This record gives sequence, C-alpha cells and structure tokens, in this order.
Amino acid sequence: VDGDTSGLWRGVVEHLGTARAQLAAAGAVEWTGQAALAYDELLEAGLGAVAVLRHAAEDSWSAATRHDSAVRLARAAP
Amino acid sequence: VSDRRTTGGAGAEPDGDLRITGGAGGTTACIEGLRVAAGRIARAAGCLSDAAALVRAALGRADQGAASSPVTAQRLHAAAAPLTSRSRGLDVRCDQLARTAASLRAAAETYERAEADVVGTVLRVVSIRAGCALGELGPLGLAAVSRLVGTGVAFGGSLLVGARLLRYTPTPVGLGLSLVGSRSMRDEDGVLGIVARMVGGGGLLPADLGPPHGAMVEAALPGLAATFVGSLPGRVPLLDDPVRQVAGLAAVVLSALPPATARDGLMVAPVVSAVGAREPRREPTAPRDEADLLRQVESMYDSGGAGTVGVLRLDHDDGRRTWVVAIPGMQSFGPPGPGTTDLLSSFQLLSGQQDDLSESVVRAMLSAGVGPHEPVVLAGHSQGGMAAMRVAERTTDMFNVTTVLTAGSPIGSMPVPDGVQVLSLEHDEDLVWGLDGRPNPDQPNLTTVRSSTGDGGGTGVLDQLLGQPSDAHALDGYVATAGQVAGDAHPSVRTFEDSLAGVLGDGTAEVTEQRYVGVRVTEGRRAGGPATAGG
Repeated sequence: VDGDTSGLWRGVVEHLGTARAQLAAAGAVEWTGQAALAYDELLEAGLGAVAVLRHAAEDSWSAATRHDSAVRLARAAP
Repeated sequence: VSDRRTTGGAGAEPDGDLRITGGAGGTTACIEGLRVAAGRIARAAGCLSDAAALVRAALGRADQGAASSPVTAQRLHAAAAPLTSRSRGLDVRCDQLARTAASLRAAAETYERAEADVVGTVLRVVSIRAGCALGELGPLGLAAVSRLVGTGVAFGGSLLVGARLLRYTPTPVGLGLSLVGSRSMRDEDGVLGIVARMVGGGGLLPADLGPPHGAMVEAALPGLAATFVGSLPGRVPLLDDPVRQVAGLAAVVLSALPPATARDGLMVAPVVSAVGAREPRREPTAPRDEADLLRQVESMYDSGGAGTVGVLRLDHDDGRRTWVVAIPGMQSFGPPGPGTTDLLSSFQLLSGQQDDLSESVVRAMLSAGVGPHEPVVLAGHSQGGMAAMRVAERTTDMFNVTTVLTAGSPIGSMPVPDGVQVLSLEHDEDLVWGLDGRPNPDQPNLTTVRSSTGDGGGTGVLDQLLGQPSDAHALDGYVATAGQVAGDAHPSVRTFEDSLAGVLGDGTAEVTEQRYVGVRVTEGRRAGGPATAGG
C-alpha cells in the first residue's frame, strides 16, 4: 500500500533492540576504580535512554498502523 | 579477550602527606575488554543512527497521507516526538554513545601506555646496558670513567662551595646569591627551589646533601649492578635483574667466608627470661593497628639476642585464634655469624635464595603452634619485611597468612601470593627500600604508602656507608608513619585494614607472647633446650 510505514517502524524497533543488547553486553567488562564507576553510571543512563526510545518507537509503530489504516480507508471512500 | 591487565599505574594519589599507590583502591582493567566494549557501544550508536534514518523516512511517508487523515497523522507525530527530540532523541543519544565509545578507546590506550611504563622501562634498560658496557671496558676503562666523574664532582663541589662563600661578600653577586638562597625561595618547589636550597642555608655544604633517597638508589642500582657484572673476569652473562644477580653472587661469597654455615646447622629455640632479670618483662598487649604491629617489631630489637622473632597468639572472645609474627631487621653487618639477621640473609632474600631468617620464622611459627587455618599477620622492618614476604610466599600450603606489613623493606621484586594483603611503608629519605632496584608493582593486594620524614635522611653519608641506619630508616619513624596511615580513608588502605582487622579483632583478645631466636650452629654443637634472653 502506498504510504504503508509499518515495515519501517518494525525496523526502528529492531534497531533499538539491537542497540540495547549491544549496550548490555558492553557492561560486561573487567574494570575497577573510579573511572569504572563513572562508566557503569553512563552505561546505565544509556540503557535507560534506549529503553525510553524503544517504548516511543513501539507507540509510534501503533500510531503509524492506525494512521496507515485511516489513510487507506479515506482513500478507498467514494 | 586477552588476559592482559593493568593496575594502578597512573601515579601516586596524594592523600595528605601520604602518597598511596597500588592496592584495592587502584584501577584494574582488562584492556582488550575495554576495546571490545567500545566496539559494542559504537555498534549501538550505529543502530541508533540507522533507526533515526528510518524514523525520518517513516514520518516523511506518513506525511504524504496527512491530508487524508490529519488527526492520526498528528497522533503519530506526537508518539514519535521522543524519537525526534533535539535534546533527548535518537540523534542526540547516537552522538552520546559515539563519544562514550571514543572515550573508552582513549581510556584503553591510556591504560596501555601506563602499563608499558615506556620511560621507566627504557631508562632501566639503557642504564643496565650502559652499565654492563662500562664494566666490560675493564679496569682501565673504569678508572678513566671514575676519574672523569670524580673531576666533575670535584669541579661541581668547588663551584658550590665558592658560590656559598660568595654570599657573604658585599658584592652584587653576593647580594644576588643571598636573595636566591633566602628562606622563602628555599621553600619553593621546582628548579628554583632546588637551586635556592643548594646556595642557601648555613654551612659550607647544603643541608640537602645527605644520603641518597630511596628513589635515587632504586633508579641507580640496576646500572651499577650491571657495571659490576660487566667488570667480572670472563664472560659472565647479564641476567634480567642485575641487582638480584649481584646479590646472589654476594650471598655465595659471604657463605664461603669462615665460619661456613650449613643450612642444617640452624637451630631455633624459644627465648626464656633469665631469673633475676634487671627489668621485669612487660605484659603483652593486643595490637590494634599498624603502629602497634611495628611497636611489636621494635621490641624485638631490645630482646637481647640478634634474630629474635616474636610470635603473639591472640585468643578472641568468640573462640577464634589468630597470630601476629614480628620480625626485626638486619642487626649484623659483618661476615656471617650465629645471628640470622645479618648481611648474608639480606643478600639471600634479595636474590631469591633460601635464607636462614625466613626459615627461623617458619620454624618459630611451627613451634608456637600456629594452625594451618588460623589467620596470621606478619610484620617486619627492613630485612624483616623481606623475610615476612618470603614466609608468606613459601607457606601458602602450611599457614593462613592473610596480611603482611613491611617498613622500609626492598620488596619490589618479591612475589605477592594471592589472598595476602600487603602494606609497604617507605620514607622518601630512606635509601634501604630502594636496594632491590625495582619499584613496588601496582597490584590489587599490594599497597605502597610513601611519605617524607621532612629531614635530609638523618645521619651522614659516612654512617650510611659504615652500615648505620639513617634516621629515615629508623623504626620509630615508621611507627609514626604507621600511626598516620591507620584509619586512612583511602580504599587501598581500607582494604588492607579490613584484612588486618580479621587478625587483630577489636583489640580485646587475650595475648600470649612467645619469642624465638634462630641461631646458626656448626654440626656437632647442636643442642636442644631454650635460649636465654640477654645471655
């Protein structure tokens, strides 16, 4: 369907899922000391931000699905 | 992922007058692990960048139908607002992650440079190679170089004395020198302060011109030892650590001096007080901190016999039994005799050979009844600290040594067993801890505390050469430093003190003190029975 964006939003959600997995794996590093504590905090903040973005992407995917349907209906109407 | 790790290394951390390096408060990092993590964060940033591009495409395509359904289009934009936000959206987070990845890579490189300690390594290698080449020049070459150095020192010395005398002349130069050497200038740091201290103050020679500091000895000794090895007749191969090599040679030579002492000629006996001793023996008290431990070591020097080792049994209220072992430093500077705290033991400890002092300590611990699972703290001054490290290393399957405290001890080349927390105290002005020619490595279980005694090292060069310990090496100074360290909030010190507290408890334990003396005896003169203090 012209204007169907569902596939694009799925891609957004998948990319954010991959980013989250990469960040979680980046936390498994042998490092102690003050710099390591700062890194842990930074990584935790990054994971939190990505979680928020992923939530927004899922909401957007739903909104886009509804919008695509509405547009399709509007165009199909005589 | 590589197993290569780096610890500490970023220089001393100032803590008041104390400079603390190594230990649990330092940094440990798997460098390859940091690089892998940086790669993962960079990939995460790439994912966010791709997601941002898809969001832009999706919103652009949705906008094409906005005229057909403006309400749903508006709701879609509202839902996607967090993704496109200029302050918290995908693009911003992508940039942040990319910066984090770059910082992590930079940290890995910094740690790698610290680990390599390029400057220190290069200087050490150059001084060893140059020293060896100098030694290989032979007696004539050495004499020529010595003459050159001697001439330089004599020239510099006369220049210095001349400048100090000129201060008292009513000339512009004298006035200028007086200004340069004024008290306020002498308190300055850096080159100006050094020059001011050279020309200022009373007397013909500067007050700073005392014995060399430990750091100077530590830096110079590898080159000097390599010179000695190079000058030996024949082709003596230069080993990795020339200081250890020379110490080993010295130990062999000293062992061969009469009277030769075979290892099986060592006797360790309990010390008992003589009846009618002039001073009543004091009741032992439970040590509470690092300073108390060193006071225990100090009391060994007054025990009447060289090589006396103290073993304190601590019986705690909760039924636990722990032990404190106090080991004194070198007490005899001559050829090997009956006492084990002598030059021979020092050379053996420095070179990694078997020695009679640590053997005496092990036998004393066995005689006192130290159990295999009962926590033990070993404390030693100077040579005693080296013996403590050796005992901790060689008795991992015999005793439960958890903690070692050393004061003014050259332990930089001695291995630290896993599970043992070590605190090494070093005074800047003390030269003894530099005699191994190696700095203490930064390890999570080895904390080095360096501090200044604030004087020029105490006794003069002649006393040092004749074997008299300088004031900076004296144990009472280290007791004071240990008092400063006790209770310090630095994480490395805290970790050490946690380990120490596991042995000392809350200071209310019932204490039983036993003393043992190790004596070298020749075959045929071995006899059982206790030794008598003061006898």
